[in-house]
Amino acid sequence: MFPQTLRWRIQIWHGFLLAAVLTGFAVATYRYQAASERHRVDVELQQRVRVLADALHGPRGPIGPPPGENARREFYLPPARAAMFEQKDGAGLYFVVWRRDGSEWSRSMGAPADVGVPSRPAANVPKQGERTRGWLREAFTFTPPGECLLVGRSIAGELAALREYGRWLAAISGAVLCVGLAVGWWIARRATRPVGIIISTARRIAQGELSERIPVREKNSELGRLSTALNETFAQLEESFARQSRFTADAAHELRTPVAIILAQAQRALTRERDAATYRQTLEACVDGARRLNRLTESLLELAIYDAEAEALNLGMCDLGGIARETAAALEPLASERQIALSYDLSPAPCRADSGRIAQVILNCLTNALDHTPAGGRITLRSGVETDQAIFSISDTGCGIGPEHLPRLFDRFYRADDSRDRHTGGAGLGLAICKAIADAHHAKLEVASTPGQGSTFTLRIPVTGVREEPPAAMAANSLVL
Amino acid sequence: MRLLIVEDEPYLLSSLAEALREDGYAVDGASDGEGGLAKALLCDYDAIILDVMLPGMDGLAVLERLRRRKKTPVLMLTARTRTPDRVRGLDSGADDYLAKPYELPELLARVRALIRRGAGNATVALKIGDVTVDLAGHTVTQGGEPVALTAREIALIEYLAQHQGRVVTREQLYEHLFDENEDSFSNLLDVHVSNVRKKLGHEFIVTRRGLGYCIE
Repeated sequence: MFPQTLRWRIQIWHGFLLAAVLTGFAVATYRYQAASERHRVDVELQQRVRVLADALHGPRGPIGPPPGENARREFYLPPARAAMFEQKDGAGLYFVVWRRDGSEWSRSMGAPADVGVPSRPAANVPKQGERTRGWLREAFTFTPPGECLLVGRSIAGELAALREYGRWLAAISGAVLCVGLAVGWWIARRATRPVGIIISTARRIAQGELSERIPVREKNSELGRLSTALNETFAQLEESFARQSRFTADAAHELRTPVAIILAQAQRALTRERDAATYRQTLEACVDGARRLNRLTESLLELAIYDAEAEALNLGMCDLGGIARETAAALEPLASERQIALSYDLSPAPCRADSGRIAQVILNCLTNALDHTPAGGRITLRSGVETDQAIFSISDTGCGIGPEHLPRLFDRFYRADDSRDRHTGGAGLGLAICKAIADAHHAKLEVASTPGQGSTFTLRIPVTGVREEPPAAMAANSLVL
Repeated sequence: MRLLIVEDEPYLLSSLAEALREDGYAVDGASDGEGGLAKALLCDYDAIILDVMLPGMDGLAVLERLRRRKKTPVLMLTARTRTPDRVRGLDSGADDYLAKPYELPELLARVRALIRRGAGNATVALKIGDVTVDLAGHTVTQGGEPVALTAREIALIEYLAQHQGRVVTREQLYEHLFDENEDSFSNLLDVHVSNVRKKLGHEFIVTRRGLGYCIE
């Protein structure tokens, strides 16, 4: 019937509530007014009844014939008092008096013909009462001797006034309801307008305008907090998309450079006949370019695998210290060739991990350290257990890494020193792969460095092992090649 | 014509430089931004081929600093090919933009176009009497007949022809015909001038004593 919107729901509930409150208020007011009006009439009538009673049994006693022939006595009302009941104006007061035996004793001129005796009390006790007959209100009293005095009058005027009052109340309530509904509609619109803004912003974002944000006016309102939470989510999404797009652009850039080398070398060689030495040079350059391409695609593929599925890990119990010793042993010849001392401080550090992948992390870090440590330097490998973590760390006495590079060091294609890394053949993916492996293990890979003094890379693997689900951050980064 | 290539990839630098030298250009190379900028400011190149991704100062920074002082035509080379990258490159003062990997013939053609526009010529064929200099094909014909010339001799004719009617000093010729590795105090220039005169007639290149050479 109505649109299923929050605004309509608020409006309908608000309308119901307002109508109920107004109806209750109007009914109560009406009834109070009616009761107090009746009470006023009753008090007035009972006063008249007392006037009659005074006339019969007042301190001066009945005026008229002696009381001896009570039964035959005429009811006598002094003219001043009788005049109260003879008014011709609209008040229309009348009285009827019955004797103890129920026969009518006296009645005023204006009394209607059909006034009956009120029901007599069982015991002979004084009784007062009021009754309504149509548009007449009557008050009566049974005197101690047993006569019944009744005074009545028309309350048509009061009833009409009351009806008028009722209509007035209804009209006022209706008006208040209308104003209330209008104000409620406005409030509901005001309250739900941010929802509309949120929806339209979310739509624009869905259409690709990722930098759009919901304007937040009141930070602490519910919708303000929702908007803030959504904005944070949007910012993360945008950052994730930007990272993805940057990664794709970087990957394309890195892939194009070796292709450009191969193409330029080959095209130049083909422009005319060359001597054997030139052809050899050209082919060497082409091979070099192809190797770079190959390394790059391997690295990209590796990253894609970690991004796509964390369960590719071949988990088992292994010792970080043992893996480090084996890995380092393979690189010892290279270290001694470069006159770099390797020293070990390896305690058993058992954990659940993919030993092959962890060895790759250690190998990458160690190769990095060897590349960045001058001759005569020292590289120290440590392992051990700290509370619930198996820890491996590698420290070098190399050139260190500037603090401006540290936050982005594990980013894909990030090179702390462009020229040097390019010539050592790295595309800036080695540490990114290490990070991806660490992430897949729910482990932490950290770096601390002092420029000029050396760097320390630390791998912390939780001893409790690897949880089942892949971390959400990796899914967002997933690479499509 | 003398060119500067700023490219950090040694294989690309060498192959590009060789290809351009074979096309008759004098070519200098620089492998980083600072070195490239220093050379570009020191010498009046006919065109500069500038890689965007350079260690240290990147290509855009080099271009921005260069443009404060010089109007040398610049061809930007980059592997970043998204539209915003190209727009940024052109807006920061590049005259042309070529994406890596590039086709060598296209790069050569773009370099020729840059030099031609830099010298203020719209056409590729320049006529001096009955001699026609084809800037695109790097050939010279006399009365419709091709004249056999070396690359360096053609470069000399092209440079003088592009400054037709103006006197070109010996220093200018040395600066634009020989690269940084050649001895500019040799009499190599006189040898080339005399060879051209032998092939196209003595009056083709006029000597303005104490000033330089001129093609009228």
